[in-house]
Parts: sequence; C-alpha cells; structure tokens
Amino acid sequence: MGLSQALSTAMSGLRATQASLALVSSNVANAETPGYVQQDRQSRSPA
Amino acid sequence: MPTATSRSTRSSRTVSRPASCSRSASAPTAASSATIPTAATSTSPKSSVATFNGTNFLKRVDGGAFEATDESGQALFGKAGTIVGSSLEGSNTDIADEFTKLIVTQQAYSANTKVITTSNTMVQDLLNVLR
Repeated sequence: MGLSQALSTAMSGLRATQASLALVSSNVANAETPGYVQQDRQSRSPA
Repeated sequence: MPTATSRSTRSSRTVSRPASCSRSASAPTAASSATIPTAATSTSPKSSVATFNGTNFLKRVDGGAFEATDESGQALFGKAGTIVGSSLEGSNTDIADEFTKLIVTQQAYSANTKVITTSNTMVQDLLNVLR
C-alpha cells in the first residue's frame, strides 16, 4: 500500500467517523424531543 | 366471441366465466372473483381506543395489559381520541446505545489519525534519506 493510498484511506475513514459523530450528536441532542425518530447509520463499501 | 369478452369485462365481479377464449384479459377477472370471497370472509384485525370510568381500578395483567373489573366498569368506546399512525409520542433515542456507539467512533477516529501520523513520519523519513 502506497503512502498516498494510506493517507487517502485514513481521510475517508475520518470522514465516515465525522458523519457518524454528527449522527450521534443529533440523536443525543434530540433525546428529549417529542416525536423524534432515532436515526441510524449504515456503512457500506463503495461500488 | 367478441360479445362474450365484452360481457365478461362489464360484469367482472358477478360471474366468473369459464375461460373459453385464451385472452389475457380473462385471467385477471378470474383471479379477482377468486380473491373477493376470501377477503369478505376473513376479518382483518382492528385496534380501537377505549376509556373506563374507574381507570385506577383496572386489573394489571401480564404483558402491559389491563383487564376490566367490576369497580372500573366496562370499556366505553367512542369517547376517547383517535390513533395516529406512524408517529411517536416521545423520542426513542437510547442514550446508552448512543454513547456506546460514540466509544466505537472514538476508537475509529484514533485509528485513522494514527495512520495519518505514521504516514507523516514515513514521509519525513523519506525526505531525510538525502542529506
């Protein structure tokens, strides 16, 4: 694995982690909101 | 033959005719005449909202259900509100579940930043090859 590919993979993983963090924070912030439906995340491999 | 097909399409619900002609239009009428009596006989489940005069005297049974007693009176239908489908009364977020997901996310973040740090070190070492 090349260095640039490792960097690209790490950046992609960081982006996925950031999206997951945004989802978790949205769920926690709306834990007391009436009628809020918990959002879920599905990670999948790119096509 | 054309008069028979026109009659079967007009009275599609009353009589199921034998498939004398092999057109594709006769197959849906035969299927609908076969499914209508079963749908009429089978009773679909319904849920309704009932109120009681003595709500505090209901008998608590297993599974979160309540049973009418003599003190509570019989169930009164039609005086309660309606059921709103596909809606929640409160939020269904589980805080503990979210925080366990947060721990997993934090570990994944650390792993990815470790990869970046290591590749940065490798690039620095590569630049130090030439002195």
